Amino acid sequence: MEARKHNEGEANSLLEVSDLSIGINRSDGVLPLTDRVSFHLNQGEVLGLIGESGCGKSITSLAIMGMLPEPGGTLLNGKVQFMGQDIFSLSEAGLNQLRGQKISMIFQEPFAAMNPLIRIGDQMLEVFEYHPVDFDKYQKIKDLLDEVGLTDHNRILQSYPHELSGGMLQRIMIAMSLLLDPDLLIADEPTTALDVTVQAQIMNLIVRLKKERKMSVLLISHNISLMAQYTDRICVMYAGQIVESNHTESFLEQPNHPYSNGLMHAIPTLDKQERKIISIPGQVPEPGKHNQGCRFKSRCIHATDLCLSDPPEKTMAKEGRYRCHY
Amino acid sequence: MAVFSKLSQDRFRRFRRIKRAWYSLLILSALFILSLFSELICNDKPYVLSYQDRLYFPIFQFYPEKEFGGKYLTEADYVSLRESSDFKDGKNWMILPPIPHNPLHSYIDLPGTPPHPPSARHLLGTDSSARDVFARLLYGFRICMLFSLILAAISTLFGILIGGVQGYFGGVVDMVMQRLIEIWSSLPFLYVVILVGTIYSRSFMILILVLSLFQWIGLSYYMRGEFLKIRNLNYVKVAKTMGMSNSHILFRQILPNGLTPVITLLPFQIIGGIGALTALDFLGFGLQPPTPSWGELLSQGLNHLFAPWLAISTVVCLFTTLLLATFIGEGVREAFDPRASTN
Repeated sequence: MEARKHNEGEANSLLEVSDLSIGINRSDGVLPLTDRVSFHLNQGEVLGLIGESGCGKSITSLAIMGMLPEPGGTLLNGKVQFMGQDIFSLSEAGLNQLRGQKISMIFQEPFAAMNPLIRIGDQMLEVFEYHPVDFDKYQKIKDLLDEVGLTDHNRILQSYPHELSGGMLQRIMIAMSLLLDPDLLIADEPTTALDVTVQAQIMNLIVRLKKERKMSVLLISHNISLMAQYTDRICVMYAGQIVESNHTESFLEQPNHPYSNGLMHAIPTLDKQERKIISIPGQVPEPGKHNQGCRFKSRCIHATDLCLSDPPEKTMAKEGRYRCHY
Repeated sequence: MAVFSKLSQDRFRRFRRIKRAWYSLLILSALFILSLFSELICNDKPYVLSYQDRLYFPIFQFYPEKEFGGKYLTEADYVSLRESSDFKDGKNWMILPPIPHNPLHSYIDLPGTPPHPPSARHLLGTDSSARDVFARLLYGFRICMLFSLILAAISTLFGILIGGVQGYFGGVVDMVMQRLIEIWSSLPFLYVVILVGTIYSRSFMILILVLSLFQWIGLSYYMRGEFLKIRNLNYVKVAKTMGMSNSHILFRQILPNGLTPVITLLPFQIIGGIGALTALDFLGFGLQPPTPSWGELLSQGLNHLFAPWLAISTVVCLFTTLLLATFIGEGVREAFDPRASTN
């Protein structure tokens, strides 16, 4: 697997998401949230999933664990294959086996991610109740706390979440997600709620742990500088679709999709004299409200008649795939 | 692991600091616990009785009148026995409870017609059947409290269960159940009580059953809201992504965090229970006479306005109990208020 790391050979990838469409059942019909999302993730790789709020990043990442939005979420099309297993064909028990053990997840808000009524230590131990292990649980917890840079074990394990800081809680979340040595770590905006210095510490920590454990990471964020620094490949999502996917370096050199271009230009820089932050005009269209044609057409400066009538599909097949007619 | 979390301890500490509520809780619990031992406080049977050098314990055991020189095999009337010359002559003695009255005993030998006004023997007078009002108030209080506590427990259980299921599963389950609850809650409660009471006799348990069929509805709305809110919180998602089971998520993650309305509403549930039982008794649809009951005393007071001791003593008792319970409820609500937690 290591040798073929950069192989695009999809059969060998750890995670394979193909044509994944998820919708929500509502009284007035099914509302599609994501549209044929496809990407793969090789072992030991960091894949970045970038896009604005509400573009379907989190829904896609939860679907990888077999969790659909509640209530009313349905799988419309496509499948998720993890280590050759079709996630959606697994039973609830099978999924529970997988969750935490093979795939685990870190969330955006460390404060909200811990049950306020249960001590940290008990919350960590409870994971083992559902995944029996043969190693020393306490030692494992302490080792992991060391690894994430928390050495005051006893105090932390005895604490309730509200007694600790956001950065500490996020470290604890990371430690908790690694308790069972997962093969895939999904980090859903792991640093958004933290300040910049802590942000860098946490990201470095994730990358270091990933290297040591040969784990794969799916990093979800809307922060393109974070992506540039820590990912191997990038997928850009827009309005429920993947609009561009490329190796990080190539992407940074030459973003092909006008939306990616817009994202890159939106990064404020210090050397530019003008202080105005460049933004992409308009808003992401609501799910179910994109008519025919390109989903980005209303906000695209290059949009032509072709963009209004035909959805761009062909270019997705090319090297450094992107979803644009031009 | 501590039974109570830090948060609960903080809330308890805050509750204790609200003096009015804390003392109300102490007083009401003390009164309730005392009333559980009503038989020892207010009874016409002595604790110990020595008759012709033999010891008897009438409060725990039945002795026929014959045993003490009477004619019949029925239970001895110890109060009259004490007064009888035969008993006074010998070295016989007895220790009676502080208030030597039975709530069901009619003192027909009293001069005048019942209800008798307060006197040294009957501190709060007697009711229209010449029964001691104090004894009836005390036993009535016990029945009232037990009734409302059991009622609150049952309706809380149902409220949590039904509201929780609605909130956790949501969607169609929630919608269908909510409509059924709306239909159910529009049933005229008093008619149901009268009907069921007529068919199955108006016993303690039947009344609790019928009342608890309706009392859970209010709480279930709150629980539904709590569960709806909490199941979308991140720690529930984390538990799911860690592969924890549904029951773990329901009982360990959601339920303890959703108990706030249960605890804040509990005192008010109890107030509701006391009010409901008193009202039903007052109307004559409550517990079967001659059960000691506040509602029945109130209706007697209404029928005998010339005997104000009936209504006044009952109203004072009812008012005090409800006031104490309200203070407790208010204090609990304040202690659980997250906005008050900063000071």
